[in-house]
Amino acid sequence: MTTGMQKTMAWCGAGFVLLLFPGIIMAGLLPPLAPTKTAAEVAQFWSTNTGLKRCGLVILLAAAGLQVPFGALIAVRIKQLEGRFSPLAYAELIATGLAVMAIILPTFAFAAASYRPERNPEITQALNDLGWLPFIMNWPAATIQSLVIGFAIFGYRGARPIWPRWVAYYNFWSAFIFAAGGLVVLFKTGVFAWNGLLAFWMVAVFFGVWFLVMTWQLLITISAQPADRAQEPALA
Amino acid sequence: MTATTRREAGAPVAPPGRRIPGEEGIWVFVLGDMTVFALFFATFMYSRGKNPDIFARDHASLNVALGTVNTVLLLTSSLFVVLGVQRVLTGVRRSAPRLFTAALACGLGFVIVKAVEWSHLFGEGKTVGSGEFFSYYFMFTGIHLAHVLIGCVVLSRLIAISRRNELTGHTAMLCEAGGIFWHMVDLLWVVLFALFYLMR
Repeated sequence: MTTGMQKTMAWCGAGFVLLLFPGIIMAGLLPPLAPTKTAAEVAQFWSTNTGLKRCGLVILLAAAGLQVPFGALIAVRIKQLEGRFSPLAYAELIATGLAVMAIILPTFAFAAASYRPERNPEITQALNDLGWLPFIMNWPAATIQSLVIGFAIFGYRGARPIWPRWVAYYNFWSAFIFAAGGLVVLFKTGVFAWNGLLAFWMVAVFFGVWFLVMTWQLLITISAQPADRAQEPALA
Repeated sequence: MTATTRREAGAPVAPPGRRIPGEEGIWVFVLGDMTVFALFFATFMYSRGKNPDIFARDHASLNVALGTVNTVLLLTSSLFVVLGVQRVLTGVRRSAPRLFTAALACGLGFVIVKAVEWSHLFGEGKTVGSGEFFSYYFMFTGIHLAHVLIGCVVLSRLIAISRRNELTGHTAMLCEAGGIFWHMVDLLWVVLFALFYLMR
């Protein structure tokens, strides 16, 4: 594995954020449509500027995939921390897969919402709900990744830790933040609704920051450990 | 907690007054968490300022006595944790597991009181959907309760590691970091208690 390839995989984390947020803005999802909007208002939203919105959704799909190389590199680092017996690394891989789905699933619902502007507004509203609810509510994928990284760092007993311990604490904190969106189904207004300050804005900001911080931390591990001398652990 | 002088041999001891209690990382977590809670408190105060009448009315249906019991429980548990950590740091650690167990008991007492309080409110038909005050109340105290439960797991770990025969600098550091987390949980509750139960 060349260093350049590893660096590319690490940068995919930052690339995810740099595509995700412009995609969200193009799709018109920022600021989020209030949950209290009527069916007619929701249908009106999805039937205007459809070209730009659909292109934004296409970008969201591309962004989602960038989590795969990024998550795989994190999993390898976790495996280096764990040694041969590495359940946390596998948990990281599964959570990465789920994180991809966490973006893809709502994107398809939004795509369906924008696909037929002429249809019955109530159907569009249902599709809009089916997009927003999993988009904000789906916290386990991100939280599991953060917890797995944190526990891998805490569990390391050797002399050459890959990451400093504050990265573990930072990940535990992020895991807690990501969970704040998990209750949006209970609210239509207020700070914990899907457009609320705490469920949406706070999580969105720290979700983006997490990818940037982890990209930075992955890049450090690559320069600290030249690829040709790295002990790549055997998979499985 | 300035008891740095008599730690076990082998532990890297910085000059007194310059050491970070616990480790740097726990402060990343604590300050990050407190920032989030500060945001919680600010949103609560903002909403309260917009609807003072509804907040005053709903505030009246909280049981201040149970809130006070919980405050006393957490403050007491923090005291036990301080004493336990001090024992660990000074090497006089025979009673440390017992002190951590007492703190854990107070923490579990908090959970039980909270459960009683919530079931009363649920019985009166007050849920997370019963207006702005109660959605704040249940969400914030619920998130805090999650912290208490995590804190109880941390305290159980502290009981286990302070029981071990050899006590390394690493173990002492973990006890101190766990203690810091528990104090934060306590501090956040004190603010929540003031905001929801006391402020009129």
